[in-house]
Amino acid sequence: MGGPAQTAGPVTSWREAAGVAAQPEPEDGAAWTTDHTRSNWLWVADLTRWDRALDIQGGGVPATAWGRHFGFVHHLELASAGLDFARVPSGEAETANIAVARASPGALPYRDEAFDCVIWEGALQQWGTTTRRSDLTAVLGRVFGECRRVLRPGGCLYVSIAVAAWPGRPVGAGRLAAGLSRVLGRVAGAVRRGEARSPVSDGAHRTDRLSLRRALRRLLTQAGFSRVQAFYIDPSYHHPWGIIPARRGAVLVYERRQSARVGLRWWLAWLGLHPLLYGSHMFLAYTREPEAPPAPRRVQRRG
Amino acid sequence: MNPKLRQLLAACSVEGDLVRPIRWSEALILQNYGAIPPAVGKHGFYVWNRGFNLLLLGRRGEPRYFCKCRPAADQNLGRETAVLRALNRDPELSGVAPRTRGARSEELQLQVSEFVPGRPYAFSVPRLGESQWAASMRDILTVARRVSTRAAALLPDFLAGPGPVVLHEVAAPCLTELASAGLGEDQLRALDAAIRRAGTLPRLLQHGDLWPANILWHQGSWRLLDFESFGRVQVPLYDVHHFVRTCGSLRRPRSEATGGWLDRLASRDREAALCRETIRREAGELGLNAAQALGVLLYYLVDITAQFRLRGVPRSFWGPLALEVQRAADTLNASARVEEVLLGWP
Repeated sequence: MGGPAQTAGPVTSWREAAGVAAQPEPEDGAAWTTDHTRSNWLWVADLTRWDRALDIQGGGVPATAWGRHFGFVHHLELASAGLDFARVPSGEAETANIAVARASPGALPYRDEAFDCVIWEGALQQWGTTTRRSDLTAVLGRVFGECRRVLRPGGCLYVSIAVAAWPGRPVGAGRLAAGLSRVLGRVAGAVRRGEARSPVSDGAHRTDRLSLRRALRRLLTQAGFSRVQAFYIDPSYHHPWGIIPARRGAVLVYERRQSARVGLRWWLAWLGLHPLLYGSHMFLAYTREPEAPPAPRRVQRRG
Repeated sequence: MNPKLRQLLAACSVEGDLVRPIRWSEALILQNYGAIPPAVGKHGFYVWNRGFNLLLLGRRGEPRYFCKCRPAADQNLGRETAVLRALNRDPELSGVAPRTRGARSEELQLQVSEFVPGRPYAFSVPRLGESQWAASMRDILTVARRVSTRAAALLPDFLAGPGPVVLHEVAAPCLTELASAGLGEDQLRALDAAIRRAGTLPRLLQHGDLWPANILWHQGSWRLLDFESFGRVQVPLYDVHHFVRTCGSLRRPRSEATGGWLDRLASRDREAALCRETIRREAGELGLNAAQALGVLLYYLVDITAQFRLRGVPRSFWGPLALEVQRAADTLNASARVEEVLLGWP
């Protein structure tokens, strides 16, 4: 059979259609791309204003996807800040409500409180896994600080990150947890689903997953965000088939739906080692809501 | 949670518990098929209008509500909500369909159903013994038949007409679609002739997507899910063919690569015999003869292939089904006793 999804003009019967079938048709599924499902996290984000968003280039979804949600999107292509940006693609076309600029995310060229939302998808992808964690932590601290500065009160920073982008060894969880996770991590590697197809999950250090969530939460809090919510993305932020709150109860419900039996993944989640199970993490960090203006006092008249 | 979604959830609140703020840790996005708003602005049942599902948890972490979120351009969700509400209100079927509410805005459509607990049949099918499998298929198809029969009274507007279905008339648009996909004229002619031999059939609303993932076992009874396509097809036995084929695929996933469904159905092994027996028994329950059962099988294959194509699904999804249609046509051209070969009908 020939190509796909469009018939060649108005055809009244299969006899007539058989006659025109030789004509070439457009490429398969050309009208549909799963890329744009990456914007659906916005439905769980607690945003009240949708005027302006900043999209920091991280190898993520085309800015046009954000342009359908926000009044205006500034798309920031990364300029070198002493780090390797060689892999950063350029060429996000400017459209009616998208403007493109080039700058370092560590020094955003925007005024304070300019945006309702800052989107950093595929964070750290540019730095690769060879950068030392201490350097990476410093970079993240600087970028989060800048994001905090340009967000209005009540604004939201979205960060998605592949665990593979987070180098080093686990810290702070205690040696027992680290040792246990090393053993379980090897086993978990065998049961992870789908990640083999994920372009960034190869070579991930499983045990690093335990420290990533805690480290990012700390950095976001230090940058001045008042609320931080952590999620897992299954199988990866490239293909977010499921977005799961990083809480044991939610993960257990999700895992129970995925397979017929209570398996190793479920038990890992039950043990609280659920960060081992997923290739991508997602964080929503909110700036403090503006304080409501004090209610006007009633002036009591005397006498 | 997004205030626009929160507002719709509150509008769907059954017991007032969705009016309260929903914590971020109580909402899971599942089956994230398509963006809302979609990248393609075309109204209809297209694949890009499939949106995503949301599972809402209770305060103790237990699943409470299953929500379908679709772009405003989707045409299936409102229809499904109407079906579920009608079935749930019926005392005879209230156990089959959950309590459901719907709401919509300019951007988003929402359907909220009480969470239906249970074990998906899709998990059990591969592990069941032959006799257990046959028995479960019989029970499930009985429930589906009961829903279809009762729904005609509950949803009279869904019936496309008062009279019987003329099979070749409903198959004609599907054949046209396959012709434009390049199916040969000889093959089209063979399919058309076999479908015409089926003549007319009694009209019966079909579930439309009755496959093991849409069936749950809970507290000793079967429950059906996903009524998005309910009533689109009104040809009896359609659900039976879809159900038996998809069960067979789950029991023998590898055989998909080596041969088609029709090859397996015609084979001499015990499971194929069970499938043929199930189809024949259901056809008997519905009062259909051999030519009609075969005609519906062919209609099912051409319809499902055409539907995938029309929805804008990539070729990798409907390509194997198109091959199946070709095989069916070739079998028709090669043999005069196709009812016997495919369905074991003497």
